[in-house]
Amino acid sequence: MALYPSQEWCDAWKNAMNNDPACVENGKNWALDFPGDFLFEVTPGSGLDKTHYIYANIKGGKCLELKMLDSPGEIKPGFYVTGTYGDFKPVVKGEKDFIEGVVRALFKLKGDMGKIMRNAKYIRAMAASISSFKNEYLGE
Amino acid sequence: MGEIHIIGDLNGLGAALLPIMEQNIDNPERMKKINKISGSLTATEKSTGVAITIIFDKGIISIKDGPIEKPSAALWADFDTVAAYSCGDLNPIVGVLKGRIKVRGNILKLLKMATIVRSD
Repeated sequence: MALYPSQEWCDAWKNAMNNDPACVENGKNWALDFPGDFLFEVTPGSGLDKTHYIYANIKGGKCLELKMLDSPGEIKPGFYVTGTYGDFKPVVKGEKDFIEGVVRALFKLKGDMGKIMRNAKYIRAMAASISSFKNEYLGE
Repeated sequence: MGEIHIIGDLNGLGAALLPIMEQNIDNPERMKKINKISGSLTATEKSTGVAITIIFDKGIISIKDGPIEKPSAALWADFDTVAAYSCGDLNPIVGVLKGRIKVRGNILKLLKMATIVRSD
């Protein structure tokens, strides 16, 4: 089992996304003509002692790269998601829905919201793939 | 360039719909119908109960977090349905007939007001 967050966990999520038919099918048009990469800023709490950054480069339904970053640096992602570790953890466990978290403003999502609305099925599939494998968590 | 007045802090539903509203306010064709409307539309995301209200005052458009007491019209739908409507993939009449969208109040006005969050 991978520890969330860690590079091992990033590798597992990338593998899950790329082997999930719902992600591949619903994401086939994602980021073909717009920047569709995500940067997740996971802020401390619930066992996480400092802010972690997770970068996901996704195109055409395939995750090309998923890695931990020390800082956002020069990266200007298409979509920037911020939330606390305490709010991300239930999403990763599959106990809570990511879209619901966005609607409730637990997660701040910056980027072209029109693209999110147009590709809501893909975002849902991508978020569902995050909970398709077992992990270990900080603070538990 | 037009402006949407934001009253208070917006929840995630409002933040998702605001950019579409901002695009529409610069679309003279779309605004032709909306400019004449005075009224309010409350939209509630069904699974969370998160709501926004859009207020129309003859071309001045405001958005606020939460419902208001007596909107001209109100609708309830899940996020995927709101998303499908807003990007033009779902005809609102079909959405109502299929039970994906629940509506209350002045339906004709609702159909006109709801075009402010439609991006087709």
